[in-house]
Amino acid sequence: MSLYFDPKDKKNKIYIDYFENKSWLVIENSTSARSSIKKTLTQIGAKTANLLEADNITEAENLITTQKPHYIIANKMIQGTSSLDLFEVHIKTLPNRLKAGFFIITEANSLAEVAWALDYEMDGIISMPLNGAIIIQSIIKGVQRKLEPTAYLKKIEDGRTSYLSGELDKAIEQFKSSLLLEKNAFEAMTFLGQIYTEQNLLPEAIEAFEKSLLLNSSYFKTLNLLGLLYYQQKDYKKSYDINLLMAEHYPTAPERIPELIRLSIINKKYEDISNYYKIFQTIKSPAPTMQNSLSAGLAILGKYFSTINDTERGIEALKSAFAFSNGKYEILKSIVHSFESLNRTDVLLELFENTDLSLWPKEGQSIYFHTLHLNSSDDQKVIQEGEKLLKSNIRDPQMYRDIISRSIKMKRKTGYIENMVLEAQKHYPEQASEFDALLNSISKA
Amino acid sequence: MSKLISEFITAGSFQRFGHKIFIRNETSHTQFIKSELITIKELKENGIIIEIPINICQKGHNLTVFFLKQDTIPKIKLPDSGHYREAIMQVMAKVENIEMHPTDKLLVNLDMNFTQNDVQLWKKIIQQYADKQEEIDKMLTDQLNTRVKR
Repeated sequence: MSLYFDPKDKKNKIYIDYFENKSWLVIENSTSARSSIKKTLTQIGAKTANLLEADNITEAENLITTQKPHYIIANKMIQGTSSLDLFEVHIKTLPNRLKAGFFIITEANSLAEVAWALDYEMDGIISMPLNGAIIIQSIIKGVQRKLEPTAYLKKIEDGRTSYLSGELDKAIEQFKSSLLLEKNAFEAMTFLGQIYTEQNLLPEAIEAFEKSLLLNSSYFKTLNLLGLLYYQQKDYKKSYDINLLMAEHYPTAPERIPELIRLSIINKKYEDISNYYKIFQTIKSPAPTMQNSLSAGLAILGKYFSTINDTERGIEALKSAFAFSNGKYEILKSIVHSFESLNRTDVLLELFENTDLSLWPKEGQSIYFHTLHLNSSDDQKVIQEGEKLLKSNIRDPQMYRDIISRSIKMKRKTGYIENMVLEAQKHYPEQASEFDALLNSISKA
Repeated sequence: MSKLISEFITAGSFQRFGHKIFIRNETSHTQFIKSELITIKELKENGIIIEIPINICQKGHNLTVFFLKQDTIPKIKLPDSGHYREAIMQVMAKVENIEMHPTDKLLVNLDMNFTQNDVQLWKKIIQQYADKQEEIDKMLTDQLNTRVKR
């Protein structure tokens, strides 16, 4: 396919006509990217006067609600903040998506990003680097079905408008009446399933989703919502089967990795576990946005291997989980528990000591302290490290308990220990009696 | 035997697509080969915009830009002059504009125009990105296309 879009070519007239009266909001960090995108949009018929731009979320949100631009093209991250919330604002401002749309620009140009865009029902996802011709190609593909909408599609948009404004009964009626206009009405069935789920009519919801699935077995929204519903209903076998269907058609979003691993463990799909382990070991430098999900997945694998006493694979999975955790507290806690159950907190300590913790969140650093406490017989070093963290306002009750008990062991001055207990009680008054008990143990000793 | 979810999950879908970039600044006679710190932001018809740490070059500098395959682990050092065998393409470019990064003070966007390049090869590289984008577009729209007849 030629990349070049010729506005004078007769076959492109339909796009020029469609975009002629559509307004756009371009939300991008850099001035040069905004001007390149705007220039590109004029090539497909947009009028310069109808092109708005913003370089921050607040301004963009304000423009969406006041100017109501039909189309938005937004970088996924604007000045370090996700632009995803703007999608919700836009869809509520212009619920009829036949005349509106949302394209997202992502810097992580992996296939896994597609799953993410599907999740949000975006009209397109444009991966960096930007290129005028490539942007046009994506936009044209994204609006294809809006150019000459059928009566059925128009009815679906009426239903969506009612649904988004909270008129659920009216929406149900509209979606039901759309079924008369199209034999293959999978979107309508899925919308019905979505509304029934919200109304807690779960058997009706499942029936609607299953009907949609029979009409179109690859419609992402159905697979996603039905898989989730089965999971919530604890019908793990069916949830697995739906997720299998989803994996057959689409790349897996990194965020779903932990859930999929849990599903495999529950369904005793042990070969999956080995496969995941092998796949994740080959990913050497994942995009930063993917690292948390990968780390959480590897932590679950590590935990699983530790429960079946597969120490070697357990340690390897946990090491990788640690490397990608970036100090995220919940993941680190799980990694620590698994290392404890493997009786190998020494490996964990080594990992900590080879990592630049200054880049980590405070909570992650407190876990380092606990690991040090568990492994080190050097009381002086442990206390010094704890004091250093306390000075940097990194604290939790266990840290105080560890410092106090080590201080008692070292026979430090009672005044020091009492001060430490008072400080702990000041920060954690609900645990005051526990700290008192530690103090009392001095007199007993 | 029944199918497994993991059979359909590949490491490849998590990997980024693209090229590594090395820069040789012909004006200041310096090199920048930390490709992990360079992001290609825009492919222009006859140029490129990249995000790069500050102070690598100034407006008006002449650069040689080397494109390497993403998975290349170079065995040869970038020479001080002349061709580089590890690169799949090299272009001469002039820095036309430098824009500060909106949030990171240590980064800038360099807007360069090519002064000497293989036009066909550049088109081929853009086409590779376009093909990847088409694969993504197809995945998004195919699920809805059971009815669309155009």
